[in-house]
Amino acid sequence: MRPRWKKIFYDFRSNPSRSLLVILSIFVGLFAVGMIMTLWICIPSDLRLGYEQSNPANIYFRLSSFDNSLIRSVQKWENVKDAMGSSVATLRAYDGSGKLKKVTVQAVSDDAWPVNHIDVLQGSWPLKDNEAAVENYKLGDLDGAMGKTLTVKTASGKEVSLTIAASIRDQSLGAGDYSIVFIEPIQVYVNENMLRRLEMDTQWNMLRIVLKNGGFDENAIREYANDYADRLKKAGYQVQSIAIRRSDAHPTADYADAIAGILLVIGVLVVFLSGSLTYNTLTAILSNQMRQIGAMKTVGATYAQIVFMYMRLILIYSLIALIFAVPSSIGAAELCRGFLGKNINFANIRTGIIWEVILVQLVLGLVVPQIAGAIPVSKGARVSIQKAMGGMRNTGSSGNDRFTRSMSKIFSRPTALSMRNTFRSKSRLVLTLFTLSLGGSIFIASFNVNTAIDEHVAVIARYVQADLDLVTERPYRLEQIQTALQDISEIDYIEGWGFGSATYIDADGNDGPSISVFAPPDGSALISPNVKEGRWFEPGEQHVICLSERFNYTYPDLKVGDKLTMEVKGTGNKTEWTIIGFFTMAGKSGGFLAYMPRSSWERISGAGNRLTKFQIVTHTRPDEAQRAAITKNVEDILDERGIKTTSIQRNDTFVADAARGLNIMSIFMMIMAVLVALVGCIGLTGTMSLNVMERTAEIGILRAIGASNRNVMKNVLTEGVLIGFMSWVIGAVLSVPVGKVLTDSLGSAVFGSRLLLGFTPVGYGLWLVLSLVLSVIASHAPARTAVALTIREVLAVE
Amino acid sequence: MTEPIIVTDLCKYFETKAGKVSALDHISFSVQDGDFVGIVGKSGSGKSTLINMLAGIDKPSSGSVSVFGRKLEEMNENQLALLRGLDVGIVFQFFQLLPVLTVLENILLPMDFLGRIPEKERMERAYEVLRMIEIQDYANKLPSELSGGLQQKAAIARALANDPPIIIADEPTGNLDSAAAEKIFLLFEELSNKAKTIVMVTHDSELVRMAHRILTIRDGALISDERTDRSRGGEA
Repeated sequence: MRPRWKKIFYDFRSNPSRSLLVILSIFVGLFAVGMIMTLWICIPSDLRLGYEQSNPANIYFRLSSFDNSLIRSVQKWENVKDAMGSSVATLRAYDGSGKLKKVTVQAVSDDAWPVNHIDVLQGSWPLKDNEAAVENYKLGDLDGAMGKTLTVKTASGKEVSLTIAASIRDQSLGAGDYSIVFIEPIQVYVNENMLRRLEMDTQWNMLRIVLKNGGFDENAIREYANDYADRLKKAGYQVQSIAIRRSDAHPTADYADAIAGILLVIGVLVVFLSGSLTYNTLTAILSNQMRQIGAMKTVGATYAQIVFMYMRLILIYSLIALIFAVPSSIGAAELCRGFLGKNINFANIRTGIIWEVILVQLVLGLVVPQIAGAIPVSKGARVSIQKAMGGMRNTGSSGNDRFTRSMSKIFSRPTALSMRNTFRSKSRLVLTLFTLSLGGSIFIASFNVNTAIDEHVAVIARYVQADLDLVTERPYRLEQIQTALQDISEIDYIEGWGFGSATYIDADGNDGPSISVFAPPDGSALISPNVKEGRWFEPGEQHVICLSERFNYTYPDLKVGDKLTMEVKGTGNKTEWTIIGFFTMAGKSGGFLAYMPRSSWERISGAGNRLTKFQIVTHTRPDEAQRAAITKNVEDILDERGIKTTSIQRNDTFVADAARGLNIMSIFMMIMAVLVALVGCIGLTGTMSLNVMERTAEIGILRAIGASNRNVMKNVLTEGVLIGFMSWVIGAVLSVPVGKVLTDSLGSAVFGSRLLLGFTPVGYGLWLVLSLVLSVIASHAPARTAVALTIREVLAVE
Repeated sequence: MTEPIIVTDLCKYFETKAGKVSALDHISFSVQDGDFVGIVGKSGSGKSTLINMLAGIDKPSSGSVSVFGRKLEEMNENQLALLRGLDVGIVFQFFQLLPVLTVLENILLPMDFLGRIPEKERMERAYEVLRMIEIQDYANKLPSELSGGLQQKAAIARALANDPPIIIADEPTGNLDSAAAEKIFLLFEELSNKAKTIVMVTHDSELVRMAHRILTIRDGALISDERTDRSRGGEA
């Protein structure tokens, strides 16, 4: 090996900690970019491809009973690729602790599920009699496990025991009612023979249709849906609801989009962070090499030769960083994909190596360090022999400007010296502050975004402020329920709400999606809506309606003041309403929701003052056990009185479910925040090493005039802490725009609107502590090096 | 005799906060082929500045330094690098060996940069220089494992690697004890005897008598130029 390459190799080997620092700087960037890019590519494609591969239905008709003859007819209709009938019912089942939970039970005749294929994750399929499969996403909510017994309570109250024989993934959860997986009930699948035992429709009530063409065009799907609905009606079937969905519109795609948006923002920032980090660390290395560069120049080395030597050294660092970054980023991305797949219900379709990611890592790994290194290397190679031999002692200013002079008046002389040192190399200080502040701003912003998310969860909770939500199978007068439950001393009061489904009738008179209508009484204290446009209804108002953000997203032409026509299910009457406001709730995936005054509902529901939804409020906020006991008590009493319930849901559980998707975002933001904090810490370590190295002589002089180890260490640590503090201040300011970009990205993806920017002192406080601790940690090794230098060593080189 | 180094009316000024300071003041001299020239003067007299000019490390404010007929102030960095590799070998007070390379590798390095000596012959040439300087036993030692005197010998060996006709040395014995310093001076004398042109800055008024010619600098000006009894050419 030629001596110059040997030198490079020895340089690499002789200072392992510095080599490790550069490799780590490059590694962190490549790792983060690799992981982020893998997720950015895979998550949307996993969702899209996985969903497409499941042969998803484009049209869902909830019909009165039908049999296979209708399916055979539908299959012959124009542009129908597949049709499938199933029987769907909402029942209740006991979880592992004996609590009753709402479940959706489905059965089909064909075990192969030609539409909305399911993936069997565990267990056996097809199901035998008395066996059930449970959708994996909410298997945990049942405390269920393979082989365990699942007891389902039928509509008449009979209990049917089934064995959990399989755990499956059904990516279409929520697709049939414009909902999302988080707020869907637990899904249970049985074979056709179980319908009678479970007292469900023995005929089908849900028709799913896959289109041959136009499955990716919402307008085309809507046209076919209207056409098919007309045919069904003409054939005498009662169409209870229609839902349409594109073949690539996974129900949780909004969340994936939000994650992809966050990933993109953080990915771009990380590339900048890593680049500046690499630049700083390479400057440190080059500065340490100045004498040697001078020596090489004196023996005839040219500028190009020196540049080429150090570029090759950088290449070695890059290659080592790549060797570790590529597999570890793949591993980390796999872990994240697994976590996200499980939590937002998609299958990890894309397998194997993603070459485009590796290509980007290769390009970034080989090019960015070379670009980052080009400036310090070129500067180093251009430096005069004189300067090089002098060890670049004159780099930076003296720090003797007005600011630092004024510092000297305020602080003790050693502290003032540390401050002057901090400002000596301003360009390096700027880069270090950039790295650390940007890292800090992302860290703080992550907490603020989490607060925005938490605040939004609190907004969801404001719609369901009662402790229990009781839905009965048929309408009852409020007094009947109040009388039935009057012996439960914990109950403070019960409010009756109108509740039901209606079909949206579009401007052309066609049936649109099914709307869930809620009708609280005038002056209800159990709801405090988050109106984003227009207003909420006033007591005594009639024929007014407030709509959820889903309407804005699907029908952007709908405005406050427009008329909306709908047909309440089972009434056959079309009624017209004035839209007075739009509200934000669980996001644009949260379904078509509408609120109207109860008195209006009572006029159109056909049930008069009899209602199906009752909000139960207890005297004090019950704890977990008390809430469960009250729920059980309510169920038992209603059972005794023959009042059949569809569900008794604890509202805290509902809020927790609705917030699940948002909480995943929170976890994700925290992972990114930690990653960024790590990059910042490495950056500061590099800067402090360089600062100490450049001040070797000064440290020698300090020691020669009586500075103790403690004094020297304090001097270095003070400088590090000062940089840490400055980065915190800048990071705190920068966190506002960074937080806004992240919050907007999340808000537009999940809610179709901007989220309010959150604020929490936690992020600021934690980053202050972290940045100071990191500063001390990062300065500690250079400070130890400084302390270890003897006066002879230090002054000899001068 | 030819004159490989010609210095003509050389001036060097440094700008300081206190104003313009003159480091070299209208210096002119020439060095003959095979001459051994010692430059003496007190600290701050300008002798190191002068030697930096001769090595092309620094550029004059005015005047000219010519090495083998080429004016250094008109050459770019790459041309100067080539000059330093082929025509001028430089020796420093603090040796400036690359600490991560062995003595042998330090000597191979200039050959590697210049590429004038064929790769197959470089090792042979390195050992030839090592034997000449009598440090062949330390070929595979790192600089940090050697005494100051041996490190300076290694630095001289490196300066000789590409067999340059001129050796310029800046206080080569300034960091050595008197015994080691004498050995280094003897080495330079031997090199001079082998027709190398040597220009050396030193503080050592005793050992400088081993040079053929002594230039004395004071306050940036050349105040005397005398030939010693070792001179082959007699008084200047």
